[in-house]
Amino acid sequence: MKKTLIFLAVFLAFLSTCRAQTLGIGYLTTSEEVTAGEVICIEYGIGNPSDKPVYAYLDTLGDLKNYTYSVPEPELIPAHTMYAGKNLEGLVVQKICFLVEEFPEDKCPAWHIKGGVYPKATEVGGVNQTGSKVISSVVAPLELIVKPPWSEWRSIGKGVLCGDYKCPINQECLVRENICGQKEYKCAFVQRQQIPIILIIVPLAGIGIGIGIYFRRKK
Amino acid sequence: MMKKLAVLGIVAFAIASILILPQKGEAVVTSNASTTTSATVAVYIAIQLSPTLQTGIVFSNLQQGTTDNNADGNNYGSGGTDYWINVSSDTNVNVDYCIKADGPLTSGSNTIALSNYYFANSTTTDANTPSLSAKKAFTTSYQKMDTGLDNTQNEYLRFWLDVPAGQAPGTYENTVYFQAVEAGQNCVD
Repeated sequence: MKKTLIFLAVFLAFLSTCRAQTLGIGYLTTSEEVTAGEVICIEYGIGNPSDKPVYAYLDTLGDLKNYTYSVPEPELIPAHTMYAGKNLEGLVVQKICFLVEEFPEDKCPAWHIKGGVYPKATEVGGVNQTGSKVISSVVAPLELIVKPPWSEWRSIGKGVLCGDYKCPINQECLVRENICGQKEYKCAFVQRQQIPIILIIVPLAGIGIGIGIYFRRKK
Repeated sequence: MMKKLAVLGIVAFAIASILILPQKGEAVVTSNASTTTSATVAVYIAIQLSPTLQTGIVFSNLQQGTTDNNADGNNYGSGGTDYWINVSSDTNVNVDYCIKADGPLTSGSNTIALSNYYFANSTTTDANTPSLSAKKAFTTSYQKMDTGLDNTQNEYLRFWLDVPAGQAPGTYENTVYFQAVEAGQNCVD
């Protein structure tokens, strides 16, 4: 074998069909609080500064990958989809959802899951010669701050110490707990529902009739 | 006697109804109600690759046992590079750029290690910039390149490849990833 063996390579005529796509992402948040067991959905805007329309959808990177509940269907992002400068206006808005099903006790009091969201083009460029395909992405960082779920509120009565304070005399103290041993207190009115008038009249009428019959028989 | 019992039964039922029914209607109504209003300005980032970079990083006419082979668009020593990335005009924050490769260049079972594959970056370009002397080897995790670029600046790139002696002939490929994030943020693998 010759020492100066040349690696043969040929450019493909249709390189233009194999171009890497460039997209943009607009975002309003980089951190969201969520309770374990609840689905949270976040909206992002996708832009396309290029001259060519692209099919793209939101996808995730980093640890968030493991907690992605649903990704949108690929959608056509028209050429020259530009940001209009306010909220997500001008962009193609898509929603991506996350679900952290369970909260491990060793993550108390809050579990921070980090990663990123980016618009992923369905078409990826390629080379057919020694070298590299190129994939570019713009990433919106996202951190989910996961809290353990709370128990139902339950009453611990009136006139008791409710956390750091006592409730007003006409309110009860309610408490709820989570697996991290945290407790939340609040005062709440205990309101009696309005009783339909018929539920008062009918028993009263029954009493009257009963007494009337009793005395009539006695006579 | 039976009638008396019936009458007493009705009376007892009526009294019990009055006493019990309102208890069933008891309900807890919480007193807490709050509304949070927030206004956030959207961040928007979009980047564009140069036409040459969009078609990939290509090395033609490689020979075994050679180092610092220029990628086809480098124009090293003769002019500015054809490889660049810019931030689109509607981007409203400064950006940091990162770069990584997915693994060694591979041709079937043969590979060229990433330690032989280099890049250099700069916000300006001419025949010598980005410079070979500033080259860094690719890794499989993101490395930051230039940071804090606005939408008037380009990130210029050059690529070089060493081909070890005795490297088997073939077409060696991998994938290079570019990532742009808001200035100060970490790139995400």
